Amino acid sequence: MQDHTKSSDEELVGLAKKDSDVFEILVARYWDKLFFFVKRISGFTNEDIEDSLQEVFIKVYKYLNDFDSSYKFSTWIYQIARNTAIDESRRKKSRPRGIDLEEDELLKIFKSSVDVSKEIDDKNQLEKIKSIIHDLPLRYREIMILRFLEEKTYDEIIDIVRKPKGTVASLVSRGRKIILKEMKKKKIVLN
Amino acid sequence: MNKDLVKKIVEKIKVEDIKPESRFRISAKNYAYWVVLIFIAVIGALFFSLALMNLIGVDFLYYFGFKKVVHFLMLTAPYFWIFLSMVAVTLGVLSFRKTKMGYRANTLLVVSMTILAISILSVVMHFSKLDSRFEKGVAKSFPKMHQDYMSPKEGKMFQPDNGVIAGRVVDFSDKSIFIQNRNSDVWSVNVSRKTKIQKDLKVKRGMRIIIFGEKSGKNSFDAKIIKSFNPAMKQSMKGSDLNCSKCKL
Repeated sequence: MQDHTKSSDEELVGLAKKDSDVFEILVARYWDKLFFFVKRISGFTNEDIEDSLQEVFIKVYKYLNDFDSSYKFSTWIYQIARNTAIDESRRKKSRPRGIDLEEDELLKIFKSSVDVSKEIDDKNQLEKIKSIIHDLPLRYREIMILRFLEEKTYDEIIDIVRKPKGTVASLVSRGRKIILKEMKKKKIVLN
Repeated sequence: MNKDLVKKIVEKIKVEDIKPESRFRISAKNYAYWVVLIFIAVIGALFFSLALMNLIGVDFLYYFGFKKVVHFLMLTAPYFWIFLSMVAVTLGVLSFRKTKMGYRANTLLVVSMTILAISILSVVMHFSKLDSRFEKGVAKSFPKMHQDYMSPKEGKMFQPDNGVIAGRVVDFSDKSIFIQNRNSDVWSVNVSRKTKIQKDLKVKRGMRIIIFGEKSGKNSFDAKIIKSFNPAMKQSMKGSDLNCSKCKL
């Protein structure tokens, strides 16, 4: 087999339509990214995420002809992964569990949301911040994760969550307000 | 990364002989939403043109003050058709959102464009008289439903103390028209030289008319304006004419 590891996603999509072996490169390229993305938004166990990702990649392969090159491939695959995770949660009749974020990830969301660059060392404050992010409703949380952890642009987020620009912008803005409000409630002072 | 799982996915694709679906098959779903959208727009336009027809039918209200016009419009607005038009707009917006790029558009823009498309179509339908033909068809096939929900309610328009009565003509002479309301009460309507009668209106027995004026006694009313109550129905009325050539509106 020819070495396609340096080909772009879009080139690989074209090739994978004719040769399923090429698809393996795409799967390998996105496995980790999607694994952590699904983990962050769903809180599934590792086994559940693996099952979910298998479904995602099979879907992606089945619908390769639906891929529109005006999108980025990464946007399209994130969109499918997100929808599959949501469907999976519904199938299990469970709301996505609390988030599964590392401490540095939590802080990154928090600091980006409230525009704070200062290090937060106080253990007590750290716990409070964790609980604020933890308690954010899913619709805000997933946007915050996409914006501040996955570092997606607004246009990419719009395509991933399939919501209009105004809705995405207002979710980010309201998410920030909720965090600030909770900060006040929990008496977190960072200045 | 779990390399075994990555391999397993490609194996599954091979073993189960999974092939990428054809572009046409995938696009069919998107076309289906557009078909639904067009269908909803046409139906919504029909409902909206019926609402328009009913509203245009109360043009006589312009002879009254603004406050009274608002009052009567509130009483007689074609809520049934307005409600169905709003349902159509909502379904239209939702169908548009389901199309491939539909989610990207601004909500206000989508709602505005849907309303605009339905409005333009409804005006076309109104001028091609599709709405009145449809209403006649409904009135013929479902008279009870038409009377109760679709046409302006006669009961609502029977308010002698507010200067309006409506009902069915049971008899008439040169100076009086006798109408019967939905409670079977007969009212005598006094017609004078000052009474304005809708142009081309020939009062006949059985016809539904609406009269604006003043209550002058028990079951007696002085008419200022007389109009056909349901223009779509007047052609099917039978009876002899009220000759009032001197008092056209």
